[in-house]
Amino acid sequence: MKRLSYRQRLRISRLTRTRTFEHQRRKAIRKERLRVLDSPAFAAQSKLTRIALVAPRRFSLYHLRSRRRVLRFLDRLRQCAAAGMRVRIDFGDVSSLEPCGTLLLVAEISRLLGSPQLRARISCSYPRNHVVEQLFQHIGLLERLGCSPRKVIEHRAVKHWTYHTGTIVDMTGMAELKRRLEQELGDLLAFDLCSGIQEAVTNAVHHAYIEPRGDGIEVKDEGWWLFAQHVDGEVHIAICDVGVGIRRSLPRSGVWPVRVIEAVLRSLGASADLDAKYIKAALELGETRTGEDNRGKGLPEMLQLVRNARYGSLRIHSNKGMLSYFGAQGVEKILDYPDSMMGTLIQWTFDAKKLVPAQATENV
Amino acid sequence: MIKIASAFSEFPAGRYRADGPYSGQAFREDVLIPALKSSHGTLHVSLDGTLGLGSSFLEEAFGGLVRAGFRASELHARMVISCRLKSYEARAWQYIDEAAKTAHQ
Repeated sequence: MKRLSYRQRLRISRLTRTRTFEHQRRKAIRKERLRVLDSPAFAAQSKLTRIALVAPRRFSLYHLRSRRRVLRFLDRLRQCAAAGMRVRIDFGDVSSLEPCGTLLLVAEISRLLGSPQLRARISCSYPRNHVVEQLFQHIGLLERLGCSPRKVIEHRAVKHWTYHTGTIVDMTGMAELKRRLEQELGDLLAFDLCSGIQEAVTNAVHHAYIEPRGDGIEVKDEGWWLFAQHVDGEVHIAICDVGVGIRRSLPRSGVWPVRVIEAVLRSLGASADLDAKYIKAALELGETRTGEDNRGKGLPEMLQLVRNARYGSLRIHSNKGMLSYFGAQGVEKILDYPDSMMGTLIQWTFDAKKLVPAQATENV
Repeated sequence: MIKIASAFSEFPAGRYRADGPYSGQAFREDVLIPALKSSHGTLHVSLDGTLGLGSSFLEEAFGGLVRAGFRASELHARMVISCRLKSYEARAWQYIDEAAKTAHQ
């Protein structure tokens, strides 16, 4: 190891002190801004007309700490947009994007920008991480927020993300997605997965926006958003809506009588009043009972395709609840997080290298 | 023979017409029912070549035939449904039979 001269050591020490001081100064400013935003007086009397919100480093809904940061950030974004402020999102520190968290970010921003009531003015800074910038450019997020594209999309992790969105059940733009899924997963599982995607989109259109979400923001287009990522044999598909969630839509959908839903909830046991129980109830009802006009089969079919593949996983987030099913072990996990994502997100994950050739008897 | 991918769409999805351009209701009303009424022999319906078939589409297209007035026994006698994935064939018939049970046929 090279020995540093006295002058070099002095320089390094001075730089470290400056950077530490600068870092602490920025942290203190952020903390003060957040304290102002959290104060009850803010909403009523704020004279701030513009604000910079720092996006969290990691966009994930699965990991507790990341989820809390993402949801707090989105909550503040909604507050500031509803207060009529010009918001600048600082994406500088963003370094990790998972399909679930990223999809929710895109969906919420689209919702705010599309609200006729708010006429939200949201802009952003370019991310410092070049892969993150490529991804945001690839899915059109930077352009929506006023940043012109400046990167060539070449990173292998970015090229294989596809993004779809809509307000009706229209799959005409997904032929290329199906072709890629067939390459990675085989045509049988790809067909099942596309059927599951159709059902998730249909559920979003039918049930997610059954009533206003209750955050005071009027929405013009009630949409769904989809990400698909396939790289190194791993396939992730995530579909999101920013509606009322399964807990509120299930009793109001008209598919099942309320007494039937209550009976299933009672049979699931657990004294806690969990959003995750409603996800489980929706699955149980679809598997074991016939709904009005034979509806309600969509969620169980999404689960069944993971069971058939005998590998992969399904995760359903709805408001605070999450239900995960792991195909290899046949294990199901349900839990409630402390905070609500305000919508529903369904995510499949498959490792193509570990899939058992499925449905060998299908063509007999 | 009706091949859904060529006679209707490669992208069938959704239940009602209001859901989207290629819904189960549109397939039933615009393709299936006219074909059943005009054909006197067996009607062969092929589900292959599509970008997946969700339960909402299948149930509305086939279960909806019973709600539209066709008897399940008549459909079993007059219609053949084929799909490379046999589970989807079975589902279409299951929806017809469940719709018949609900309609007390």
